[in-house]
Amino acid sequence: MVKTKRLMALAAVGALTLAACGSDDDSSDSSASTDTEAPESTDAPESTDAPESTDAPDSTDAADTTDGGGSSDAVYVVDTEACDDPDAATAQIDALKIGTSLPLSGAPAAVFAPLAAGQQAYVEYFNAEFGGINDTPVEIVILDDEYAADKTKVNVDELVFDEEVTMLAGVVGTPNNIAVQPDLNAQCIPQLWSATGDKTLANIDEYPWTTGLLVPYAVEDRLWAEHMAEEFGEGSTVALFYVNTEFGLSYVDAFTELAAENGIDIIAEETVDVADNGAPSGQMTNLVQANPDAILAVPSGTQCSAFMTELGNAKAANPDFDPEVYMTATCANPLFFDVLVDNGGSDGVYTSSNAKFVLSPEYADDEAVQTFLDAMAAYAPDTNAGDQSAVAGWLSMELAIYAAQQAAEAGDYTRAGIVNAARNIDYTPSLLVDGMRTSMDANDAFFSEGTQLVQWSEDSKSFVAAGEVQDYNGSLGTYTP
Amino acid sequence: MNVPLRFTKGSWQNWAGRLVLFGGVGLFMYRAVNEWSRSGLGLLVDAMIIAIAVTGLNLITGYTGQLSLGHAAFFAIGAFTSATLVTGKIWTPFLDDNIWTPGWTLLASAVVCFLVGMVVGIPALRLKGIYLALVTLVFTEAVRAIFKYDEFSGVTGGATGIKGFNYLPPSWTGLDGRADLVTWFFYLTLAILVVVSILSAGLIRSRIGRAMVAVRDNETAAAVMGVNLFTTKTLVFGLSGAIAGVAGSLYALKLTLVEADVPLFGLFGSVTLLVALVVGGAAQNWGPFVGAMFYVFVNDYARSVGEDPSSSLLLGWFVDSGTTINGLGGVTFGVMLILFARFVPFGAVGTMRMWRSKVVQVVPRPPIPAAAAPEAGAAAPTLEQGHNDPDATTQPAASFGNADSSSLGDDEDAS
Repeated sequence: MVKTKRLMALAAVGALTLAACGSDDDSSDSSASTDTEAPESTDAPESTDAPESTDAPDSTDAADTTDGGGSSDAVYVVDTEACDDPDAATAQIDALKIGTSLPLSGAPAAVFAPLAAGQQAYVEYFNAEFGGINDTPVEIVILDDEYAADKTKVNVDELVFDEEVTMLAGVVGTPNNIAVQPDLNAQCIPQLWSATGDKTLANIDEYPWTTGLLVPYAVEDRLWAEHMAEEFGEGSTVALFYVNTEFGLSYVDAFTELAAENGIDIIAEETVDVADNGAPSGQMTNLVQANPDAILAVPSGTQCSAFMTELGNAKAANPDFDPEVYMTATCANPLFFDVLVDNGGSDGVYTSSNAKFVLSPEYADDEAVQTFLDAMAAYAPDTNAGDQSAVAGWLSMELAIYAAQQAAEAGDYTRAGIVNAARNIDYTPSLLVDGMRTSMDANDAFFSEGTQLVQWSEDSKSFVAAGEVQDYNGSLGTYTP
Repeated sequence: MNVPLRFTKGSWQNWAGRLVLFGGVGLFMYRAVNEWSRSGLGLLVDAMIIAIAVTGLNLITGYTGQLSLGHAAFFAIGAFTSATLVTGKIWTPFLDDNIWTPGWTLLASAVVCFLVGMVVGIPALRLKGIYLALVTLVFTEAVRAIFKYDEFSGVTGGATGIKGFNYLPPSWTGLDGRADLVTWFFYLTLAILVVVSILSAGLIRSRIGRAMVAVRDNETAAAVMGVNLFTTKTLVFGLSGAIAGVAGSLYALKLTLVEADVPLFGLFGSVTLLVALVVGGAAQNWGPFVGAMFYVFVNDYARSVGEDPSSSLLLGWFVDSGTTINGLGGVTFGVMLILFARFVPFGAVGTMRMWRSKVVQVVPRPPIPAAAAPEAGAAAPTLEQGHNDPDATTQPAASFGNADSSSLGDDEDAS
């Protein structure tokens, strides 16, 4: 018996060795930058030379939105020959089924679950109002990934192979989207309007089937860097507080370059772990000691509130500590600020937004806002409609269905057709603030490059505009690693 | 019929029972790979990967009695070893482009984790119980912090990790690239699980296995009886770490990404492995497999309840369609774990064996008779005859407990 077991073990080890040797031809070139099996470069008719840097231009003047700013309007056509299954990429769609993966449980759910509600509400509103596309209702499948990239990958597998979705839209999270980007592009499944502003999603050459939704973090950084320089002049000091993930590092990397250009000194850096939702006391103590002119804060989810609470405590305990605070737009949610203890931590905090704050009195008579609020009341009554995450979810589905409609109207109602429609989009959703244009083409892989600096007012319990809308549409071009 | 029925180990009845058990598992696997959805098969692969890791944990915690909360670290080290080798981030001799074949990285992970495990085993010489658990927990978090450390980002990718590597099915399998990726991982993981289980069972039956059990049951007595505590503990830590490292390697190759924030690489991972071990049954050969299956599939069921409570058997009566309850999935899983712990205190396998022993018992083979031939006409000696029986020509059956005993005593092993 013992001898039999030893022989079995040896045989199994031998089989494994065979497996190890046999995989040379398929994976010997699996370096991180090349083993994506993404389709070849596009066949855009005009030059696709893109600027090497993704920095926004020096000028802060709002671009002329009528002619698209720097956009060249070069038409993009996606290449389907390199797809795992080119026929699937060009097969006619009978019924549009959209899949998405986002945190519906765990700590991040408090921030991102309303996004799902906004997505669901738009799809139901669209079906009720317009009957679907080609008289066929649109279907949406939403899965929970707890903001874990490994779970996102499992979900995407389920969505693609079991649910057989037509496309993915509104997937939340920078690491989550990056994790599934190579596979989706190799399979030529559209991964559109991803809820992240990371620049790597604009890598049109390597990942043409992927687009982002949020304002690129580099644009936000530009806005803040220039405001800091204007407020404090040459030699101003700034401290960084950021979550130690790709999301946080995206902001920091871009800001570090801009700081050098604008004569800003980074005098302190504090990080927080993505799983740490406690008060950042230790980090705040160090920030107080550094006493910068400004703090650039990039926390994640509920860390936004924790940071501002601790900031208020620090200000109360240290009268000389009163920096300007610039916070990532992903924290620009009135609900985060409104629930804070009134200790002054949130008052005057700068952030940015390209979307309308739907509960703001300014938009009381806005038709698009009213449509959104009515739909949320009808289809997502348990969700606070004032949550900006819900607005983001609504926008992701609005754009996904718009691209599908465009493809259908062009007679190319296929996955490739949807991607082409998305990559050549020239449409500004009415829930975005007035004064900006959102578009993409072969030379512009960033959808929304406009935003507005806003500031939280404790008096009015709302965000107030702190500057004009800055629209850099077309200026960032595409991203090349 | 006398109950419980007693069958000798190695008898045809014993083999028939094993055949039924293995046949059942084999049929289950056959149906899974041929009939299940891709996501279901993916879950099964995840369960088998965790089973491999828990097999390693079972050696050090179940059989040697050393409570370790550090096996997620070995899991992570194995994962990062594979990722860094496959993407060429680490210089290795004899390879021009430093690119390793994914399959060979499994062996590399085993070696690396074995060495790390031996080092981690050194503190275990002087620490016990909760103190050892704390040290191993710190080890887990330290490993995560190291992988995330910006200065090492050239190798580990820092906070962004390493992505974009694939382990596609080799051409000789006849599988179709990315579409059959999960099928490939099913067969690969199943093969590794079988190998690891056989090796683990063999180790338990060996002299080292007896030393492990002796250390677990009474460390002082074991030392007095001549068991080398240093060798035993460090070696077992190394072996268990190696097995967990292979599991981590498989996980990384299946996921095609590694980053320090993956939950299974931290405290959550250590607790997951420990829960699976306890649920399946510590110091049971089948415990890791059963525990991992329970953990993964029950957790998935709980998640589906959380996503759509109206479709669940229990809550569907009270909840309208479309209603969501945040956090319900976690609560559901927690309640199920508590109920399991209450009604199945010895783990699934341990409890099943306890129930089975009331009906069927597999007893050790009787010892081989002594050299002297029996007198003509004398009755053949039986087990019941003790050494005081003047007619007995055999040595009395020595029964000081089974050599590969579990903490439950009756440890006849169907495998």
